[in-house]
Amino acid sequence: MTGRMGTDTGLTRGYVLRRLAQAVGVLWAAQLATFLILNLLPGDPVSTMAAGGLQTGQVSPDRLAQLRAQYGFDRPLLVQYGDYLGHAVRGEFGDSVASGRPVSSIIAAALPSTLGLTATAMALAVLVGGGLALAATYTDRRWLRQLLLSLPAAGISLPTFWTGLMLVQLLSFRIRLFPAFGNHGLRGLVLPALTLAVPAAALIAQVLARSLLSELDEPYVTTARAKGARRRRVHLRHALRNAAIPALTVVGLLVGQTLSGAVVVETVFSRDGLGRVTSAAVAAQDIPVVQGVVVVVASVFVLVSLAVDLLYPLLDRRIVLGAQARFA
Amino acid sequence: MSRAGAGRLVRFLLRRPGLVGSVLVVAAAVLAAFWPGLFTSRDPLRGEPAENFSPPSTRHWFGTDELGRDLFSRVVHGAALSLKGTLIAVAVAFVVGGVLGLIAGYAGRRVDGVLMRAVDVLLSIPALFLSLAVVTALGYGTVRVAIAVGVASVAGFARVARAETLRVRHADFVEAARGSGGRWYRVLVRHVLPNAAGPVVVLAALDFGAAVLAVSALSFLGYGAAPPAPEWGTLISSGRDYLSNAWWLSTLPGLTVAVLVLSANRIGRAFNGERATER
Amino acid sequence: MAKETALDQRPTPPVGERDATSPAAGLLDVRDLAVDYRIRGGVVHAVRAASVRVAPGEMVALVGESGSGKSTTAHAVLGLLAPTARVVGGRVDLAGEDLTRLGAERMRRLRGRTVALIPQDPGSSLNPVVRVGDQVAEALVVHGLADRRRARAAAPDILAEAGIADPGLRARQFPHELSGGLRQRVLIAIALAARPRLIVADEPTSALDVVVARQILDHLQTLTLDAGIGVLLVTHDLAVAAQRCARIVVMAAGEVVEDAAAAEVIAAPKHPATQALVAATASRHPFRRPAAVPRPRTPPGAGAQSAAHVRIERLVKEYRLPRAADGDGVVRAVDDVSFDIARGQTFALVGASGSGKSTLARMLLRFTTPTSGRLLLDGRDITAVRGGELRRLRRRMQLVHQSPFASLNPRFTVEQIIGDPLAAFGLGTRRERRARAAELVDLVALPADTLSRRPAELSGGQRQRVAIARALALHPGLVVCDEPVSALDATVQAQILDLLVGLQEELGVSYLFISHDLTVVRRIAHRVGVLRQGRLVEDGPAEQVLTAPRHPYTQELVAAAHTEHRTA
Repeated sequence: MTGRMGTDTGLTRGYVLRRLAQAVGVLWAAQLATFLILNLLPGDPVSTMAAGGLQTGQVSPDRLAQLRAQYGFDRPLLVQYGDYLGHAVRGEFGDSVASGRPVSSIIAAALPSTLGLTATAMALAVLVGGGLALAATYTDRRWLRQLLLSLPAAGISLPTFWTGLMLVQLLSFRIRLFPAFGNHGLRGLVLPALTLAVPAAALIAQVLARSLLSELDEPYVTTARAKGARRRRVHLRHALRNAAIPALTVVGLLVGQTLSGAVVVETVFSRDGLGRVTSAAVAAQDIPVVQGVVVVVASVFVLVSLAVDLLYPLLDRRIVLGAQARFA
Repeated sequence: MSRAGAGRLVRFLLRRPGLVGSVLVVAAAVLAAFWPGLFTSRDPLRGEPAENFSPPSTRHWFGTDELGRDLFSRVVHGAALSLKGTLIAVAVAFVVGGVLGLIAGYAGRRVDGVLMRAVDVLLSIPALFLSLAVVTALGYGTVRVAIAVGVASVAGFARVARAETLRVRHADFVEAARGSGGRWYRVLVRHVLPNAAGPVVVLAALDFGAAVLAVSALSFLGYGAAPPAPEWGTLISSGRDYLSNAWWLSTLPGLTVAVLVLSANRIGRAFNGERATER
Repeated sequence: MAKETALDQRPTPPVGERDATSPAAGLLDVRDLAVDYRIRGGVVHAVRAASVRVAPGEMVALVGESGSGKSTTAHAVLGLLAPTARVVGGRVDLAGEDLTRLGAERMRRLRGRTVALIPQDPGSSLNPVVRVGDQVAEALVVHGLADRRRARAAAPDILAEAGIADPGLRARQFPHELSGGLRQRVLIAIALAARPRLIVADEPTSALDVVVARQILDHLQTLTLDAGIGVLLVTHDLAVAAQRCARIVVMAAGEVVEDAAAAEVIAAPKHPATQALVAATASRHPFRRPAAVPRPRTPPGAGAQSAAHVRIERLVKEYRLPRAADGDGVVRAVDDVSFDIARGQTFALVGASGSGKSTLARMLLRFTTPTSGRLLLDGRDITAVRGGELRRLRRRMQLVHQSPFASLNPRFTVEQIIGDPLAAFGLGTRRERRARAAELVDLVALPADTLSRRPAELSGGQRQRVAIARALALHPGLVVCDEPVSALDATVQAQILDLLVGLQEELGVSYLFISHDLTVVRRIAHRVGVLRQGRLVEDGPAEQVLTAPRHPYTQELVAAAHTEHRTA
């Protein structure tokens, strides 16, 4: 119980490396899982691809065999996987069945717009959700608190695609404030980001408010109040710093949900991006593209989770040490 | 006991009008799913072209669509498809996730390690993308979409079930049951399972609303039932083309979904917290 | 600066209002305080008539069982009542101001500056994500006594004043890096930082072990009384109160029932509640009343050894640390321990938390497997028994857990709980099991209607009786009691110990009795073993170990327990 204690951060190189290795392992497994889902589940990928992506109607057996050979589906699954993994490590996911373009360049073209949308939405969600939670727990007025605390429940219940359509109806068609569809710079970003932010903000508000309320019941809050600290100070410097930790976890998880939401929102607003690439690929049963997208999205999500994990020990010094002292 | 219990239940509900309303909404949705005839006598598939794009009125509560079909009737009949999808999704997640979690929590460290790594992997793929991968493999249709949605929530259920099993498994009263000579399966069934099941059931209640949303999102994207069938997501999606001249086509089905999800979540919350604190 | 303000604010007592016999002019004067809590569907009168006075430089004890209203009274003095609480009568005069009429901001300015708190639980009373020094400094900053930089610089000095060695290092650490005793000292430092005139100490040492608790109370006493600071010591422990305070105020059911000199309260308690507290303290007292129950003591000799019910031989349990940063990665939780338990007698295992006593009990019960050593029950080696044989072994030894709140299945009725061991072995018909449950409930002196209740409807003491009944259901020869009374109130503790002693005499069971509390052990043990860091440092007849301990650690434990109860 010495040595490490005096150091200034709870982060140690060992911990960072361990978490990095874990992240890589998870990613590899996620990629394997996708591969298995897409290749092992009932349905021959070539015939579905041929039927969905290339032409409708009957496909000749010769053509099927030719396609199998072209995409390597005639080889044993293990060989296929080894080959696939070898390429994936280098960022290659094969060619799209529908368009014939390399999957990596399709994704590279679509990713920035989607990441920008997700990041904007998350920033909005943290601001709005965090502010709502703070206001709800700070106010003395019972009715106001009840009102503010009931908002998130509604926010979580709205279907994203519907929220988007409603915003378009009100702010594009009725008031003509923002463009309804397409990628039009910052103004075009407002409605989709707002749409995506609604459920995320609601969840952040819910979790942060709950953990703030429970932190405010902790004995250390009594200690701080007994010192004579003002309410605002107790709220922001004591309770919030502790309550932020579970909220941070939720923010990390929400990145995944928001990326998911982007698929739907991009469809609603006819924005180009990863979402539309995905929904088109699923519609065409374009397996290489779907596989590539899932792996890329999982990478983004795992990286964010890793970043969140590395942030914890900076916020709460007990976390790394806690993991080590568990059996002592 | 039962009379006192009933009295307590009535008092519990009277203090929560919102909860009562939520129960009524969900009950109405379930009734519509099984007996749509209770709510409407109109055919959801046959339209009267002369009456197309009629705004909501006493004759057509939710208005009519581009083919003159009654939207209210389509929403009512859509309940069957959409709720069926939701129930299948929740059931898949509950059963598969629950069993995995129970095994992981009770079987010992090695099995636990393997299962939980698998769960971590599932959790590392954002839910909708996981569902989309399954849809790509399985193909279109309400049931397949439902399975895809269920698969995406298996991991969450497995985690909760495992955590509960572990918590209860190490509880003193379980040790006492083992110390009293109970065989492992007796201890599991009589002591662990009943005390661990609660939060998993609560999660199922909470997940119901999310499943409604996920199923309708996938059908909004066009992977659900084939076109003339009135699934909720499809209804909202097809109204999108007429946003400027027929606002009701997207708005009202969407509102229906939102109200149902809000109600389901409210009931889920009641299961989660309020009854527990009342006990 | 502190002296100046103390002079400025010193109140002049309002003439005529004060009781002439009152000791010194009051610093704190609580009169007929009444506090209600709003709860769903009603009001609880938590405090109905509380009057307490504290003079500068005086330490007054406020004593009562949990729920007596003592904590509510203490919080009213700090203006820190829960939002659901309301002062419905009386007044709280602190340094001449009636706190019940102060606005929130005025009250805030008094907190920390005029009246400070030393909270109960050092484990959770410090903010886990803020450095210790900053938490001390905050007490100065919020009252504008120093800016943030100067306050931070002053923190080590304040910590040193509270008896913390190496304060510069401690100030930079986080609470989880300090021991419980050190954290309590940090809390004292925080309370003293702004030089308050009154300190409310709310069970300041109940979470600490006796040795540390004594040092901390000694230190607190010197710091406060010499500086003329008044202290209101809130405690459930009459022995601590009597030892530390000249005057004791006893609360029961929301009212002050007794307010007198400490010696008077102990020697001639008037109110039944006080009498109960005194009786409970006395029964826990190891040196006043020798054995309350006569019992035969095993003469140490060869005969006793051959009759050993349980024999533990060179038992070792090692735990491997995952990715241990230091040492060889192995911790010896139990280190080469040997002793016997004679049939029908009690062997008490004493030690601080983490000394390995629970691990030892769990090995004996075969919940965990020893790393090495042997366990013999009735002369038979049970160290490696497995499967069905292990299950049959369970009939011969049973466990009573520490917390009766966790050890009973919340979904079962008492009848199901007590009948569960019988059902697990398929013993008897349903009706016979029911009859046996009724018999056992009677044996542990619970009313028959308890059978149909669930654990949530029972008190802690009743639950522990149920747990004991369950342990006895299979007629075991040995019952392991793991801190069976430490989760209970003092008066209930005494009742449960009496029950255990009575059952032993009636049924002839042997006990392995685990406790950290010497006073409890004294009531029940025939032999005592002292465990420290996994090693058995001393064992012998109870009388000898408790009155003439040989090992320095045992001596320290006994001395600590002794001073704790000296005045009682």
